[in-house]
This record gives sequence, structure tokens and C-alpha cells, in this order.
Amino acid sequence: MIEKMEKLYIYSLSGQSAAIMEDVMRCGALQPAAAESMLEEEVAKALQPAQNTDLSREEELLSRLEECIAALKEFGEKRGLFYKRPEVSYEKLTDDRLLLNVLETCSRIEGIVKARDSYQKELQKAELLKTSFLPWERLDVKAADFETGRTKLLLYILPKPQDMEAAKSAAREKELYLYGETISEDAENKYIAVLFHKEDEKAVRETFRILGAKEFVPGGMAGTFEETIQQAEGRIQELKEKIEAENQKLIQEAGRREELELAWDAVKVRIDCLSTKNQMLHTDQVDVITGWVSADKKEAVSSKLKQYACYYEYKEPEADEEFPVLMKNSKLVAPFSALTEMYSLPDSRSMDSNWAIGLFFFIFFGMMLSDAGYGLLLTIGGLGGAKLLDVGEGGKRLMTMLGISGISTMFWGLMYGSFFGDAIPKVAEVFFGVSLSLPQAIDPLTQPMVVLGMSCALGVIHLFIGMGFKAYLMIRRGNIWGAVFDVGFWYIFLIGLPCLILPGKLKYIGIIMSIAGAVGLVLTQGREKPTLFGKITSGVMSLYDVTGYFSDVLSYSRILALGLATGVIASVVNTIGTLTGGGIVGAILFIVIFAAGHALNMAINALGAYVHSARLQYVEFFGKYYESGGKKFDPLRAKTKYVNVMEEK
Amino acid sequence: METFATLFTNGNFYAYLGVALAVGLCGIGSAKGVGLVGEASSGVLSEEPERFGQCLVLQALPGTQGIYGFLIGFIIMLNTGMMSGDVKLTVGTGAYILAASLPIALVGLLSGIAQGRVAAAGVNIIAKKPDQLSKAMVSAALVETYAILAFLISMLLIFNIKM
Repeated sequence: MIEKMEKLYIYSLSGQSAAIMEDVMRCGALQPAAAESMLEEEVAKALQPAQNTDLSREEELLSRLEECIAALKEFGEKRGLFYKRPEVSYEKLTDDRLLLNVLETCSRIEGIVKARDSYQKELQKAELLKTSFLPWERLDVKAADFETGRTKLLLYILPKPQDMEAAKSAAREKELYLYGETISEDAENKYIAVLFHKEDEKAVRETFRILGAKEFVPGGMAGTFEETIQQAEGRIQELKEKIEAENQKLIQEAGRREELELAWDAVKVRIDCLSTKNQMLHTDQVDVITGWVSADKKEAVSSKLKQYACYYEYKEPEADEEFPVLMKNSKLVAPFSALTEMYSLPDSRSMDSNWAIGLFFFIFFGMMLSDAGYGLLLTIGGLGGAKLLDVGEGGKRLMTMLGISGISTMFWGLMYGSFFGDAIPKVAEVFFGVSLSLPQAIDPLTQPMVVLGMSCALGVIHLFIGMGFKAYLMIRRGNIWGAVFDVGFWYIFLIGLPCLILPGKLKYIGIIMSIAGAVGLVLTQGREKPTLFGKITSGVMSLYDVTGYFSDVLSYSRILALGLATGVIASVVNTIGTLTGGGIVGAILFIVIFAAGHALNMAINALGAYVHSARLQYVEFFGKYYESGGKKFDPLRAKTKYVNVMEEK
Repeated sequence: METFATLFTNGNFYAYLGVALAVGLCGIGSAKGVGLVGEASSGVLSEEPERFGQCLVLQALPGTQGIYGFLIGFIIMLNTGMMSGDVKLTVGTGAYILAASLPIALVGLLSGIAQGRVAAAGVNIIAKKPDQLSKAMVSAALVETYAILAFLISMLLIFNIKM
């Protein structure tokens, strides 16, 4: 059912409205709404507009915490699949002392990270220096001797195929005297040192520029190249040790990660809580808090408010006012409400039809996947996963839904005599030489028409329930005749038509019903049209809608097709697996092919069954009655990422 | 002696042709469709690698046509005895089998591509509103309906041919 909502108005002293919000947050039942839309216009005008709360301090803290958590994440123990977030009480989450302690840890970790980053930068520099000096290692001239009173030494990187000889001959043409030596070479370049008289410097530089050589200026050189490289190596070693030491410090802090994560959540919750203030209109001394409260939690909210010196009142929404939608269902149906939410929530004045959606999804999914083995795996995996894994609310619902649908899959698998396809008879025959077969109520391969009939019959029931919902909504809104005309006559007509092919006297019932239904439809379906001509034509035209119903019903034939697909692929897998015959080699091959093949078949067909069961709801079923467009009820509550907040008793 | 001309009066040839068309054309359709979605997914994945699971779901959808074609091919092989190599079909039966394989062969080819295009467009939804994935899935599933219907007819036809 769609939960009733009431409007709540709280008039509190400015000083305590933050405390009130924090307390109300614990109930998780109030969705703050902008006061302008909730108050009467004159009242809203008389009040001062809402102010934006300054949250920059909190937001800065949040990002600092995030960086620290990221730094510790590298080192702490890895959280596996079965990691569960710690349970934390609301008191602990909102405790101010928590943040004080954490600030210290935070700055300590930031210090470590900062030091490590600067060492890392220095390390990169040292490594760069080393690699650029390495080609010159053999040159044993000290940095101080590069320039003497008369001579100068320049270093050039000469791209191949140019070499020292080319340089020398170019120099000879210009009558330059220089001494050159190739220090080393790699795939692309030759590294050369050139010694010459200072007066010729300009001409030498010009010569090498024409050759395309690049001058190498050794920055940061102390002593010879070899000495500098050795120094750099020492420095690199030292820096690596320092970084390692900082990492060790972080490893020691890794245990603090939970604490930081708790603090992150605490700050986040505080920001959520404080930012509600952005919507509050106020006078100098009083804040007006407005919002929606789900009716069943009214008491809990009131009991919190009673502790404060504030005035509060509830109001029911106006007859035509939209309110946030919260769907409440039994434990069995609730997981299936995810299907409705994925489509779009129902309008707040419409109805919650999750029980029907869940029931038919359950049946259709089972018939499409229809294998007892797959169903068993799905039930164990889905229900077990929902219990053991911390996958969040949405993930839990999805897993529970698949787990429940697995039961239906098992049922239909047994009906069709399929357990991992025909695995049991095949194995018995090939490996043990025994011929046996599973009992089966229906064999979809030899009796496809039976399954097709069943699918379409289920489709008819499904569609009729959808039409029933439409009638129910019309009656609830006082439009009883509309329900009779738009749904009742269609029922009569659609039930009458297939009766026409029945033998004997039943045929006459069919004739009477279809004629009565058709006449009723022709007379009533044009009732909104202004002219008589319009009334009659749209009445007659409405009979063409019968093709729509026909194609809707045929659409359910996919249940047969997808069921057959699962079964046949499964038996193909088993056939391929047993091709090599019995014996040990055969058994090993069979196990490998069996595991991979059935995993693939189950994955693809479970996806197909899910999508097509949902489609039958969205297109065929919802098309008959569904009114979408509701806004989700999103109450103020502790939305945490790293911890689970314990529910209050 | 078999010549190229006698091939056309040989029922087996038509049955083999049916298998080839069903598996081949549906395979092409699915390969093309899955490929289209894969290309579109890479765009999203380069920005948000964690959306891989969602993209994979969309990418898997146009793959079903290939499976339907494969199944029809496999059923023809089983029913005619091609697996054991002992096939003796009259020209009539062979031609019936060929005709029965045509619905899934043709619809599989074209719907695979069309579904691929719808799903590839759906990848945009993952990029912008990942929580609305189901709508993209349902749009793609609407296209698949016709492949399912064709598969159903091909299958029912083949089951009811007297070998």
C-alpha cells in the first residue's frame, strides 16, 4: 500500500532548531520540504527568507578525511567479499568528541603523506639526473675544469648518422682547431665532448648547430660525472629508504582507518542535517521547519518534539495535493517493489500493486528459466548473498528477489523434469551405463502447445488483473459506470470471443457474450465525443482495440520460447560434455564443460528471464492501468557510507 | 555419382542449408549487435570503469539471436540425425526444413542488428543516469520480441516435420 503522509510544521526557537533536526533525523520519518510550498502565501511572505548555512568548514574537513582514508587504503588489510561494515549507534555517530580525536590523527597522516610526497618528488629528480648523466660517465673531467684560462669544453648530443669525423671535417673547412672525443653512443645518438680555444667558441657552436647537435649542459654536477652519478645513486637509495619509512608509519596508522571512516560519515550526516536549514523560513527568533511525515511514524516524531520548547502541528494534505510516495509491503513482496521503482513510482493518489507484480514476476521468471538446478543455485546464492554480504539496501533487495524467484524456477524445473538440463540421465547412461529418466509432468519439447496454452492463459489472467486494477481505481474515485463501460464490457467481450470455438451449447454462450460485450462497447466507448456521429464512429472503432489485446496475449508466448531455450542449451552442454564417453578423461572433460557451459547458460538465461519478466509487467500489464509519476519519499536520516547505523528500538 | 546438379535433388542438402542459414545469419546479426554495444560501451568505460557490469548487461542483450539460431540449427541436426552422420531426407522434407529455418534466420539477422543499435543508444543512459538502466534494457527487449516469435515458429515447424 502507499503510505499516508501528513504535513508537519514545527515552530522552534532559532537556537535549538539544529538540535531538533538532529533528533528528528533518528526517526528517519521526516522529509524536509521547502517552506514556500507548504505554508500559505501570506504567512510565507511575512517571514524572512531562508539563509544559506555556511558549511565550508565541514566540507573542507570531509575532503581532508577522504584523502586520509585514501592514503590508508593502500596499506590496511584488503576488505574481502564478506566484509561487513561496522554497526554503530546513533549516539556514537553524533558524538562531538569523535571529531576532536580524529582531527589529530588526520593532521598526523597528512604530515606523513606530505613528507612522502616531497621525498617522491626529490627521488624523481635524482633519477632523472642519473639517467641524463649516465652517457657521460666515461668522461673524467671535473666540472671545475670545463673552462680554463684559454680553453673550453662543450658537450654535444649528436644525432646519428652524424659522427665525430663529420664534425672534424666541417671544422677543418673553417680552419678551426678542436679536439673531440666520442664518449658513448646509443641507438639514436652519439655523445661527444669537444675541446677548443676560447676565441673560436662562436664558430664551434655554429658548426655544431648546423650538424643538428644539441648541447648538453650538466646542471647539478659536482666533481666528475662518475662521482656525481655515484652521489645520485646514494641519494636515490636514501630517498627510497625514507619513503619506505613513511610508508611504515602509514602502515602503523592503518588501524585508524575505521575511525576516520566513522568520522567521515559523522561529518556527512552533520552536513545533511545542517543543510536542511537552507529551506527554513524564519523570524528573528523563530525558525519554521516544514516537511512530510509518514503517518505511522507520527508518534515517534511527536515524542522527540515533546522534549523541546517548540510548537508543532500536523495537517493532512489537500484532496488534490501530491505527496511523496512510500510503498509499504510485507517482507515477501517488498523485494519486488524494486521492479516498480525501476519503472517509475506510482502517483501518490494511485495504488500500490506490488503484490501482483511480484507474484507474476515470480511465476514468469520461474517458467522462463525453468531448471531445478539453476533455481537451486539462484536461491542459495540470492538468499545467502542477501544475508552474508554487505551490498547495501538496493543490492540486498535484488538478491532477495532473485533468491525467491529461484524457488519458482525449481518448481518449474521439476515440472519439466530438468535438473541442469538432462544431466542426470546423460551421466547415468555414459558413465554408469544405466538408463534412467527424471519424472516430468510436462515435456516442453514434445508438448510445446501445452506450455504455449499455459503461457497465454497466464497472460490472460495477468491482463485481466491489470484491467481489474483500472476498474478498482475508477470505482474508488466514484466513477462506477466508467468501470462498467471501460472494463466490464471488455471482460464480457474478451471472455465471449474464445468461447465461440467451443463445441455444443457453450458456443451459444460465446455468441451471446461477445455480441453483448460488443454492443456495450459500441454504445459507450464514444461517450466523450460531442456529436452523435463521433459517438458512433469512436464506439465502432474501439472494437479494433481487440487486436491490441490479441497481441498482448501472444506476447506471453515468450515464456515458452525462453523456457525451451534454457532447456535445449542445457542439454546441448551435456551432450558436448559427454561426447568423449566414459572413463577418467571423459569425466574430467565433462566436469569442465559442465561447469563452464551451465554457468554461461544460467547467466544468459537468468538475464533474459529477468528482462522479459519485467517487460511483461512494464508493457503489457502496466499498459492496462498504471499511473506513474510519484516522487520518492526520501526522509532525513543518517545516510552512511562506511558504517551501518543501528536501528533504534 | 554425385554431381553439382544432383545436389539440388538431394533433400539432405536443403537441410544442411537450413542449419547454415539459421546459425550463420543469426550469428552475424548478434555479432554485429553485440559489437555495436561494445563500441559504445568503451566510451563510457574510459570515463567510468566501474560501470562495466551495467554495460555488460546491455551488451549481452543482442547476443540472444545468435543463441536462437544456434538452437534451431542444433535441433535440425538432432532431429535429422546429422550428429550421427546418417541423414536420408527426401527433397520435400529437406525443403521444408530449409523453409522452417528461414523465420529465425532472417529475423535473427535484422533484429540482432536493430537491438544492438537500441542497446548502444542505451549506453548513453548509463553514462548520464545509471539508475535508469532498466529502461534501456526494456527498450532493447522490445526489439527482441520478434526474434522470440520467429524462434518459436521455426521451432514448432521443425518439431512437426515428419522425418
